Amino acid sequence: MRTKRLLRAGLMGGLVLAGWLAEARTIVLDARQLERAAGLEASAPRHGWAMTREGTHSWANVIHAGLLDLTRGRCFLFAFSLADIPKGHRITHAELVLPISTWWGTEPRFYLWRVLAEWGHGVCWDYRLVGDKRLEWTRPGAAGMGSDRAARPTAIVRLTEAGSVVINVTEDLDLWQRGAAAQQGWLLSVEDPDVTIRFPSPLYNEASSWKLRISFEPEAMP
Amino acid sequence: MMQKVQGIGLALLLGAAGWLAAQEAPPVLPKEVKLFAATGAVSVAVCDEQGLLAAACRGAVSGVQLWKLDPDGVPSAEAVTLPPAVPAGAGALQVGPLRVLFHPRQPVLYVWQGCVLPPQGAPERQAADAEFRCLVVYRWTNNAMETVGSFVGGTHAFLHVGAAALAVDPEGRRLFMAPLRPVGATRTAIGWLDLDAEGLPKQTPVLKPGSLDNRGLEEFEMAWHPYRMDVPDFGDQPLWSLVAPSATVLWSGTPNGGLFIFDTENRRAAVAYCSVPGIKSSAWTMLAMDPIRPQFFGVGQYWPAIFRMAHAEGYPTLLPETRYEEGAACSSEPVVMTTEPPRVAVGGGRSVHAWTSDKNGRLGGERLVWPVPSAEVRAMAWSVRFKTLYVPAEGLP
Repeated sequence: MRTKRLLRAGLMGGLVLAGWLAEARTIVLDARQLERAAGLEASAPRHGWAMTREGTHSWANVIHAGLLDLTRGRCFLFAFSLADIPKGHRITHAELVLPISTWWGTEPRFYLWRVLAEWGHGVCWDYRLVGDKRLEWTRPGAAGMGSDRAARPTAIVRLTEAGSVVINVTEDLDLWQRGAAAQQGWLLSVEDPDVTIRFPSPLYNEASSWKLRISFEPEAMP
Repeated sequence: MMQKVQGIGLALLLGAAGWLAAQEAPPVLPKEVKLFAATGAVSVAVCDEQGLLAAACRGAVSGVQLWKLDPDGVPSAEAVTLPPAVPAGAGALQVGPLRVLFHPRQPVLYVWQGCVLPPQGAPERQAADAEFRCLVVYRWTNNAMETVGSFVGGTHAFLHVGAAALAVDPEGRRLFMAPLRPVGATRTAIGWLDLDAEGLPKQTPVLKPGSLDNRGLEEFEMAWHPYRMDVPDFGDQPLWSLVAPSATVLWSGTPNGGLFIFDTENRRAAVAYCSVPGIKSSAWTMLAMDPIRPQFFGVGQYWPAIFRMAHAEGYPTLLPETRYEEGAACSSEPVVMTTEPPRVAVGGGRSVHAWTSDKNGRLGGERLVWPVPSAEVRAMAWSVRFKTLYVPAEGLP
């Protein structure tokens, strides 16, 4: 009788464990799943699509989003939709894959920051929200450390060759998933003078090359 | 045998009745859609304040036609054809309207007209080059439309073009226009004239030719010369769509599924370009602003998709939303219908397509198709006052 009970309990436990393991999974998002994005530029302080000024002849100096040229005075805000991560799950690993086309300048590096301040409609270099009221960034370009963006960067990426770079963003995803911080996405910036780093545009025809890979599992063994 | 014959007879009778019913069935249109007889309408505008409907027609009869709307918004049975502005020395110059637009607050109608230019060297050509003006301004006075004047000649405008666009900002401070002659090395420009409180074009200070005196000071005179900004070159542009969300920002559709944003106040960021994924890269973009929510809509000409994008004080913001609908080949600028639920109507082949949006303006709802007896609907207008979509139709009695 006792053996039978033990066997039954073992079987139930095994089924629960199998279900739990099946629920642990990895999803891959790309820039088509961005819920918000904006290119901010100091000299175009009201634009939200200022990602480059590449162009010649009659197109010279035209702002557009066909490429992302990060440089001092121009940054990029983006937030993925995390609706596919079910509640009651914890992040085990997350990585952001960013494609790099080329760069100009010496010792190129870019910064990835977790954004702290709420941003949305009307976001631009000067404002983080424009509605009935205009809400400014603490410092223009979301530059306020510890107020607009986190006090320290999620990553500083030094470039040695073109191609994709992979950034561990587990801690940021974990904060958002646990509700310890509001999900306001990330900011990409270049802080060094005379450096420009070119990314294929996530808003144009290279959306699939910007990836966020997230692994998660149920929070605790039942 | 007898039963079989009776059965066949009954089936034939029912079939014939069904066919007849189908032939006689009137087009099913909701009460907020009104067809009006206008052949070859390329632009339609409504003046809510005065109850006026205008159409630029380029059919068998080429000209601007004007209808008075009754208290229920029904157009008068007969239209009045407005006289085009033709220079005295230009003889029988062939003139046709390309765009009509009412001032948002004043009873003023702006018409952009083009002409077929006589051969080089002909006296009529010289008269046209010197005196033909593309912008004609009319004012509704004493229950009639009177001509105020004509502006913007061949020095600044292309006289012989197939399409043009006009836009006024919601406050009625500036009248934007295109295409104009470029200032630099591109093919075209957009431009504007400031408007006075009555909606009439204001003169601007322009450099007097040969006015540079020996102290290096320039002299100016007042003239109706439009301010101009060059348009980045996409090649020839046979379609123009302009929207002025404010007196300082202007949107212009581009020939590749996107829009230009002209900022007339920031010389360091004067032109921006926004390409919308999901709109064919060779489709001419036609635009319309939502009069209530801070958003706008766009379609690619003959492309079965519509996009919605938010704007903040005229600057497009965040990501566009695109809806693709098989069979909805768009042939007109979108028109935002302030109905409940809100809809966005777009002309198509023998039909008008209407996308339903939710309370936030998103294009989440159904798409309705309303039949129109015209090969192609190229223009429509919405009246906020009469809650009516005016659709020009051919072949109406």
